[in-house]
Amino acid sequence: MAMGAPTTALFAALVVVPIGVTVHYSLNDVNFLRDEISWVGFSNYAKLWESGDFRHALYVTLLIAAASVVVPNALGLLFAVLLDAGSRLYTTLRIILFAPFVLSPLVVGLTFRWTLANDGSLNNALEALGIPGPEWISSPNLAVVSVGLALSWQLVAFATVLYVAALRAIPTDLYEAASIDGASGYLRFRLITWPLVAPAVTITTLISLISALKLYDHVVALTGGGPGRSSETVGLAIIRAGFTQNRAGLASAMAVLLLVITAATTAISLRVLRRREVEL
Amino acid sequence: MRQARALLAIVVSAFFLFPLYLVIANAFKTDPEILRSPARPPIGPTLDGMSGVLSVGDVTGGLVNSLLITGSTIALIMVVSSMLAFALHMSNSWISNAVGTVILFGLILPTPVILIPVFRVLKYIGLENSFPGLILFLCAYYAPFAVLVYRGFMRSIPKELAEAASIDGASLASIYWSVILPLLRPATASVLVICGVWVWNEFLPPLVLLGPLQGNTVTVGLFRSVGQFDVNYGQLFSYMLFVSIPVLVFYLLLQRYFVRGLTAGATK
Repeated sequence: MAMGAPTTALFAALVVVPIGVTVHYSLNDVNFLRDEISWVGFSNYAKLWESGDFRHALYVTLLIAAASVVVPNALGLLFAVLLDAGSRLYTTLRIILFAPFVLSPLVVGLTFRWTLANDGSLNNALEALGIPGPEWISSPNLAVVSVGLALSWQLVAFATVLYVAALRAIPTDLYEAASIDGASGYLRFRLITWPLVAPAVTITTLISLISALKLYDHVVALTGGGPGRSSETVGLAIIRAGFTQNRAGLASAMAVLLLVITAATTAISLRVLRRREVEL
Repeated sequence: MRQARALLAIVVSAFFLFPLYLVIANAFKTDPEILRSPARPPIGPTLDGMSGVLSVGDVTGGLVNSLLITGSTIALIMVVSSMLAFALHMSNSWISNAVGTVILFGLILPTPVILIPVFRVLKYIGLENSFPGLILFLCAYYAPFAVLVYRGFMRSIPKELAEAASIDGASLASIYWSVILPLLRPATASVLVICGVWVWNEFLPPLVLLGPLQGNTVTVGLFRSVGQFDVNYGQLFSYMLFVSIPVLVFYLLLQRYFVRGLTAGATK
């Protein structure tokens, strides 16, 4: 085990200990400027429960998380079926299509801010079609949608490439045998494709869920959490409380809640999705 | 039918390329052109944006810092996490099983959750506001993923191989170095390219852990300059291009390993 010591020590010092400290801070009133810390029990959590701003941030985060599980899985599989072909054209298109996933979320957020602006490319295109373009970024509800769009744009790219890899691994004789037995296109999808891409569903769901729950960069670049705080996520709320407002105790209580929610949702999805994989 | 499908596939891919296209096209246009027709390709391209951003913003310094931080972090991750994966692969003790399980929780951890205490821990050991502090944190944060990839890959290496070498009298460390590490090359390529892209793009950890005095990474620099460049779009797009080129090149060179590494965790 000696060879495992460096990573174990690093992980313990810079991940495990900080989680413990976060839990500790969440039960205290912490002031770094005056170097004071005093026990307050669960009152930070009680404050969060009463805070409309935090409840809204939680709502926004969970909404985007739900959308980013559904959208990348659905569109990813759809685009993968479209792009699953052997020729060089499709290989090239797949390489291109994955590129969004490697871009910095800040760059993605800024380009979306530009594209979705009131006089941006999207609204110009809509107007050319005779549809009045909405205010994507300056209206409270659509700002949340815009953030979800920017994240989904990266996640769909990721999911598509993952699903193509999964589709390519399915033996073609399965489809041939099914065709000979007279199975329709729908039945072949339902009985062969869908069960056999189960591992890709699992990874796409987990990565999407985790990316959405920790969402920060996209929001900061695209809306800054605004207008007002209408598109603020829990990630943004933590950093604002912890650094801008110097309320580390309150920020830590948010952090603990976010951690519990992340652990619970990923554990549940993993259990559900893995069971589907095993049943095959 | 075949042509219709190809056309549809091209349209879908183009749609995904559009924001990147915007960055590239507008980095080489003048501001009036950008404002008038943002989606048009640069006809008679100008280098004003590129040279402007190089003279105003500290882009070159940011690029050097980001290269330094990304390079050191992924080199360190490669060494220490393949060592841990090998130790876990060879041992069956309760302690190695416990480490193997606990470290998986690192995969789901949102960065905002721990950054405040991480800063305190780094301060405690005297590494706050420093490159080494940031590098160590990023290494600890991405190690779980690297360990997962390495462990998955090691399942294809028979244990007997290492055991045979140890019967011949080789130490575990020398077996790791001369037998195992060379076999791990494809997994290492995956770890380097995926963690490399993630570390390069990291924004919140350098923002919080480096502080204002240490010099920026490109992502932090881009963020800080957004207000500054609000009137000069050519420079803003040029900045974004500088942030994106290194990851795109890195990805294109090693794209095979990118997808393989991401699916590694699932195929067990």
